[in-house]
Amino acid sequence: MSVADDFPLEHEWAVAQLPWYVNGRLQPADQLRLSAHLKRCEACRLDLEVERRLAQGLSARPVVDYSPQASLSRMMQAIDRSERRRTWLPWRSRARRAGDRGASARPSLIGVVIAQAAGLAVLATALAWLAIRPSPEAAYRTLSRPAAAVDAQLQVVFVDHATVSQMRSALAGVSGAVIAGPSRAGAFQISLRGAQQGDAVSAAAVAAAVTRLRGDPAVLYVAPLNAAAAP
Amino acid sequence: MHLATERVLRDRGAEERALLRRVALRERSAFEQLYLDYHRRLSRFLMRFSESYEAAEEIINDTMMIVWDKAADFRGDSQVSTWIIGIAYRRMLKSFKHRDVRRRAETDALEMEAFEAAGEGEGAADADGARADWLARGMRMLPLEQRLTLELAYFLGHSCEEIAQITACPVNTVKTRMFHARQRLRQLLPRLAEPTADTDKPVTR
Repeated sequence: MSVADDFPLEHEWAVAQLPWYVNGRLQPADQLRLSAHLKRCEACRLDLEVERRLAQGLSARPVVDYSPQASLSRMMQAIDRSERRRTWLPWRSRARRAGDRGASARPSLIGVVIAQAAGLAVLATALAWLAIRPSPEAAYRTLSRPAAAVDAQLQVVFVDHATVSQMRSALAGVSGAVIAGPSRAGAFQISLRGAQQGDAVSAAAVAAAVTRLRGDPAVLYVAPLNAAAAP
Repeated sequence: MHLATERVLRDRGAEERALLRRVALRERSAFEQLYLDYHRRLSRFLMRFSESYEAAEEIINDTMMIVWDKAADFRGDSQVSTWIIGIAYRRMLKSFKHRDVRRRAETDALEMEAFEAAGEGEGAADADGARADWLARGMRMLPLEQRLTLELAYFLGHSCEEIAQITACPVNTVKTRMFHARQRLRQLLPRLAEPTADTDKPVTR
């Protein structure tokens, strides 16, 4: 076997490629190149056999297949809970309801406000008599989701042209999270969280959040639904 | 690469991209199909590292929740499979590194010494089942990233470039990890390099 000047480099390259020669995932050009080297290099041929034995041994480990149905069921339940918490922007339906065809819909905005106020009056009455459902404790805990806290709830309606960014900013300013909505009238149910997990939110904190949201240009209407007094 | 393998992978990739587009549109049936496809693949892979199916399921469901949330963000820079397995990989690292891996590696090293000293390694390389068990013990003694690289290549059949995408590392890092993993296994399991009766048996997948 003649040793070319570039053989050491070629050999070093070949050694690194062997695993993917074994699993069949080398690019065709590299496969041809390695095949040519193997004809010249006994060390690599021996190495190749070791890699084949290794691959075979790893493939020979018994596998146990678990039925996915129960896991899928839990997955879909977790998605259901997640979707109930998402900020949902049915722009198309909101645009149709408002008759808004674009950014120049200002003349119709007063009509929108009046229509929404009427709807809100009905909604507020209905909600006041409903048992407010607390944030469901997630049976499935994702990496970033904190445990549910004792919290106060607000009803918030955003202006029709509010962007996602503006809505997020408004909610972030009061440590609020959407737990339901939007309703047909465009109302969201917002949960305010205490400073620490498990903290109740004081009446003063709720009032401060309401004041702050009313001053936010993205917010059309806000009202407390319930408030837990601090101990 | 075998042409038939390349064609199968390309077709599967196209199907998965179409499925993910439907997931991005919040189509639940598409997500369920994707979930069932990947549950089998991921559970088999994860159970090679964990004795707890509950732990594996948590990783799978965390992974697929991210897929549900981020399907619309998938830009097609990689295959859907490398994207999803990459998410699972990062979740795995977080989960498994929280365990007392060092204590388990020391325990396994003591077991391996006793294993070899008792001559139980004799012939272990000859029988498939015994070899698999013997190899599994050696694999547990590798650093997690090296072991994952080996398993991604030999169990899941990924190319070097795909492993680089999955692990978010340069290709050379993947090659280095693979090189060190192979070297370490040969030190731990010297019989791996001994000729056996089935030396020429082809690798079956």
